[in-house]
Amino acid sequence: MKDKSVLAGVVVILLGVAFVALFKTLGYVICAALISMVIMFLIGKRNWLQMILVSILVPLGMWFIFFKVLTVNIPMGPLSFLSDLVGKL
Amino acid sequence: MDFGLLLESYGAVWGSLQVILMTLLGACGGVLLGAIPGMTATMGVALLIPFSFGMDLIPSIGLLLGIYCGGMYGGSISAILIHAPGTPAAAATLLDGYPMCQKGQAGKALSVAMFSSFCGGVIGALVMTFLSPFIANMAMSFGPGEMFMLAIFGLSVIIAISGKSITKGLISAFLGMALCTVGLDPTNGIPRFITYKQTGLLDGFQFIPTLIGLFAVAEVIAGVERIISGEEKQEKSNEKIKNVLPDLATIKKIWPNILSGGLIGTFIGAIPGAGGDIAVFVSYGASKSASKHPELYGTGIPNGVAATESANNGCSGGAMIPLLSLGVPGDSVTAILLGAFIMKGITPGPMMYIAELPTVYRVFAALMLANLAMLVVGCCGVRFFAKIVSVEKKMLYPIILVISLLGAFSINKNVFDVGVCVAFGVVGWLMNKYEFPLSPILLALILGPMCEKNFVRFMNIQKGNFAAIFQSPIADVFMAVALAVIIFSVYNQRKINKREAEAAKSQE
Repeated sequence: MKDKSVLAGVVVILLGVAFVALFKTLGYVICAALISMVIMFLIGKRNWLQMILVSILVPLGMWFIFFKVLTVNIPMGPLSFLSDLVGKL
Repeated sequence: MDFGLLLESYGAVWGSLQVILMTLLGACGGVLLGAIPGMTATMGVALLIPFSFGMDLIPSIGLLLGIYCGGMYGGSISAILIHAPGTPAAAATLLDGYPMCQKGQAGKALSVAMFSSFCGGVIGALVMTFLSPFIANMAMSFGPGEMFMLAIFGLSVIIAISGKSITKGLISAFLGMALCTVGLDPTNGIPRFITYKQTGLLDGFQFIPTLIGLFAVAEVIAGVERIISGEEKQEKSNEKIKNVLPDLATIKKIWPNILSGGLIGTFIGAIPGAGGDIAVFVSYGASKSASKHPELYGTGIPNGVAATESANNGCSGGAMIPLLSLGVPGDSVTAILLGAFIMKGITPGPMMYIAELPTVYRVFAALMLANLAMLVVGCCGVRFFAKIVSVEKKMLYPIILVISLLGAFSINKNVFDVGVCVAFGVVGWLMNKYEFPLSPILLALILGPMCEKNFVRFMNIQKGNFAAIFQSPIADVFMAVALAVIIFSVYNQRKINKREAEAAKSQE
């Protein structure tokens, strides 16, 4: 049991490293959604609807707060069109 | 002290609907911004300054002070609920706040934090109102030698907050000091160690990504481990939060901590360059050393939360003291406030007390109002915030991770900082595994540069004659207190160990 949990910890760390590596290319929302989904699956969540909704909405929401409200530019990668869209609001 | 004018100023400020609304708005914004890891009160104030351009001085000061006070409380919310300090000044709140949350007392922790923040802020505002000139003069006699001793004193507090093993605490602290040496040499600008290869490290390890990594990311990793191994329980908000304020029994227990925290916060905040992040640890260490049951600190007692939260709000009042009396900002937020004043055509400083006394008193009134606004916002929010613990842990941890990583990025808009955050997440996780306390690293990261810079400056001024430091009464005081803290803590720890050994023996 203990070994499995430590392994899980290591996986989370590796996901963190992957996040940093892919951040510039894929942008925040995609990276965040991906690692979020993987972690939730890893720790046993199987309610796909909840998983997908949370994984997409939370990063999106955070991006919106930081980008629109606090005017911090966040790399979005392929989703840059969203930045342009919201920027015009 | 012109009481008539003071009363009239309070009336003018508290009676103005515009000021009240702006202050409430600021408090709301401050609490929310403070609660997001990676967003600090300083950023909040800086971002919302443009909103104040169109208003008169006092409404805009109300807005900014509202954000300031709100931000200092807001940081504690995420510190208590998700072990991710929203502001650096909340880093000590999680020492007892998070265990309280894990024990199912999240609502109590939040209300203690709010009440202590309010009281600490009031203490700061009162000291500011009545003792400004006196304290400002004292703060100005802090030269490099005194600042160096203050840093040493702060480092001695590390021993007090080390928990069970002082040795491990010291090792943590040394690790933190070693980490500070990365970056440019503060005096000569020469890159040190691995800075050669990484441009991202030119400024050293950025404080907030490190903070987020050590506390938030490490906790996420640990939480994932606990879920997999089945140890993690899902808390339902079983607490019936009858009152949003702590009950009288609790207040009776914590008021000494609130009083000492508020005063410590005020005095340390008044020293330019020393702010909430130092004051909270000093206050926590002081409360723990003076307590009859120091072993309880860290297990989740309201006293720990009260000590830290009153200190960080006391700092807001304290930092205003040198700003108004001398025109020297006490911390980064007051530096921005200085700009706001100047934009309206008023230059804070000694002349302000002569030429613009009504304005000065109105600022005093505005700070008191800001504390009240924070209390109101906090009261309305406590029930709501406490519900966050009912979010399913399996979803909460990824959410925390995602928010933390973004917070780490947003400080300098630098991907490297996210890497630093993850790296320190690993460090924090390992340290937790081997029961090394985390706070000493943090404290060392804050105090290390302060220690080094001031030591070098002092030696430059004294041409290498370190003995000159003993001539400064303030430095002597800090030295004496530092020694006292060390001796006390070691003695206390021995007492605790003896007690536990006896308890174990008597069970055999």
